[in-house]
Amino acid sequence: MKKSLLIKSGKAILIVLGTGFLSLLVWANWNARTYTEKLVGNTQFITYDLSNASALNPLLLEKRISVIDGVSSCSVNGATKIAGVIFYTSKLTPGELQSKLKNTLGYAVSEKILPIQKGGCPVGGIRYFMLGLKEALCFRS
Amino acid sequence: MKKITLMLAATGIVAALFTTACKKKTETVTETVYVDKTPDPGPPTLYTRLGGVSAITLVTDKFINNCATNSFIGPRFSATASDANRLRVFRFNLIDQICAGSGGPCQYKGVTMLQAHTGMNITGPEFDTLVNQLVKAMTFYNVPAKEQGDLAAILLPMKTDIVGH
Repeated sequence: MKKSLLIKSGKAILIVLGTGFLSLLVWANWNARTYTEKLVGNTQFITYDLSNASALNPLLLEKRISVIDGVSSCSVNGATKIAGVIFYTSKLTPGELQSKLKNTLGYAVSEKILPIQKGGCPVGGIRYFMLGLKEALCFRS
Repeated sequence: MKKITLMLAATGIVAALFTTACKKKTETVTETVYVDKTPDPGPPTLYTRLGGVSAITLVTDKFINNCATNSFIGPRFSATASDANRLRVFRFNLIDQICAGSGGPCQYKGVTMLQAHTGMNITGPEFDTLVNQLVKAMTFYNVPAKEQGDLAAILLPMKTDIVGH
């Protein structure tokens, strides 16, 4: 009796979870991707410590790093000796980027976490978590 | 026999007239369609002059990067930029906003500037630094001065909704 109740409960839970997942899949794929989403790839932002550099010419460094294949942009802060790099995740991994930076600059660079002010730009919270989930489950081109 | 010949002749004339009339009508329609297909495109939009979505994406990425690494306003951006999901939403919103504002085919889907910045207490100097970072980004990619001015004219009126809330 107990075993059959357990099996029934298990089946009910599986049905509920399966229906929930299917609903999420339908919701994530309901609308076609926007013009921007279709044309612009996803990126990642990493900051690097450039204190190993003997002489720092921010503009020159920005130009040299920006042309690395897969890098979308680079900004160098000469005062804090930090380089911010935005790169396409479909073309580079963080490890590959670090290796390419070493080849381009001639010295090893390490990641540096920037000071963060609580809050920041208002793109967080449950609404943006759901948007991230939608992106992960969307397989429409 | 004469009647039949006359009837045939009359039918022929009517048919000929009908065909000619129809032919003229078709020619007129074709001409009208041709005119409609080539309307005067007018001056190119700012979106086109900037170089489309790919150029806007380059400038946007450089702008975000400039802001995040800036000593003064960086801390306001670094939390967003360092989180891949938040960066994605923020970046696409910015691209959509510039693209739509400059006459491109995108649609901005984010909240209003006032809603987005209420509670952040952004100061005038912070906003000015942000504008400087945008100008630096456009200069880096050699955006001509006229296009820089036109884009600034679209974005600067948002200052009242961004500062002091």
